[in-house]
Amino acid sequence: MDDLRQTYYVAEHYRHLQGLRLLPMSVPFLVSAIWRHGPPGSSLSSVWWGMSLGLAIAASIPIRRYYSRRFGDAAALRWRTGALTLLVVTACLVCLGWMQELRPAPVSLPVAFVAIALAKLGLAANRLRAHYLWIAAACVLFEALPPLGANAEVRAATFDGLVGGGLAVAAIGDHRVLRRLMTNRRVA
Amino acid sequence: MKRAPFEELSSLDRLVHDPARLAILTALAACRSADFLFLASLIGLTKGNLSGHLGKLERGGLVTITKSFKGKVPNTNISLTPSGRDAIRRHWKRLETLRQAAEAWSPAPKPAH
Repeated sequence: MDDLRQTYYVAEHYRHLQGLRLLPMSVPFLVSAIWRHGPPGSSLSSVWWGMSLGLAIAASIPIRRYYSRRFGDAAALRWRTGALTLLVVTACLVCLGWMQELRPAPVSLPVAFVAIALAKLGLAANRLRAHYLWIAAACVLFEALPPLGANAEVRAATFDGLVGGGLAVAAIGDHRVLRRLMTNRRVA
Repeated sequence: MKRAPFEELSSLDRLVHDPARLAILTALAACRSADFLFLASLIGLTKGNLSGHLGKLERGGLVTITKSFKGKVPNTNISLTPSGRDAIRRHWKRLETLRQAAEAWSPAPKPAH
């Protein structure tokens, strides 16, 4: 029965589990985190960000084709599409950011929301995607930076590193999960 | 007389309850449609075996199979019919009921001689 639950989960989240599609997106954030370690006030221009994120999105298209060729294709249910998930998460983050401005809280509400959502993802389906628990733990550590006396520049560099590193861990972790489940399964 | 949950197992629909077909229907219930390669990779069946099971499910009216071309490559797409979706939902519900009944079940005491 557990095996069938896993089958259901993979079929339901197949697009999300195509982890390598996220990997190019981690590069701009990691580069930015390194760049911020330069002279004070150094940050990458918005043109650079626009171009690198555009390239990352473009790079995800051939990666999607690779998954299609290797494991086939499954059309997600309408309420399970990546676009809808992205839209809902973005709306929640914007709302929480707005709430934070109205009533300042000791912790960053958007980061706390992301940590909880990632932990939930890591615990789903018998901890199939346990690597998300590590990213959630990194978010909690990030929340601890202001009390430790980290200044705004250190926080900005760490934030970029957290996003880039988190995307890279999610990408490689999801890819490994998908590869393991799609190549080792045999029905009796 | 009320039957023991294990006896109820024999009345399950064999078309749905076969392990490979149950896995196929479970996977299809989680998405709108899936292609042949995806089902073969996910469930771990050989092409011939998967084809045989899909044929049985199609004849039973539980799935629809659409053949087309993606560029020059042939593509077989499979989706559940409304009755297929209903059948797998009912089957899972029944399995869950049987599981609960089996947990609560205790053998009848033997008559004293």
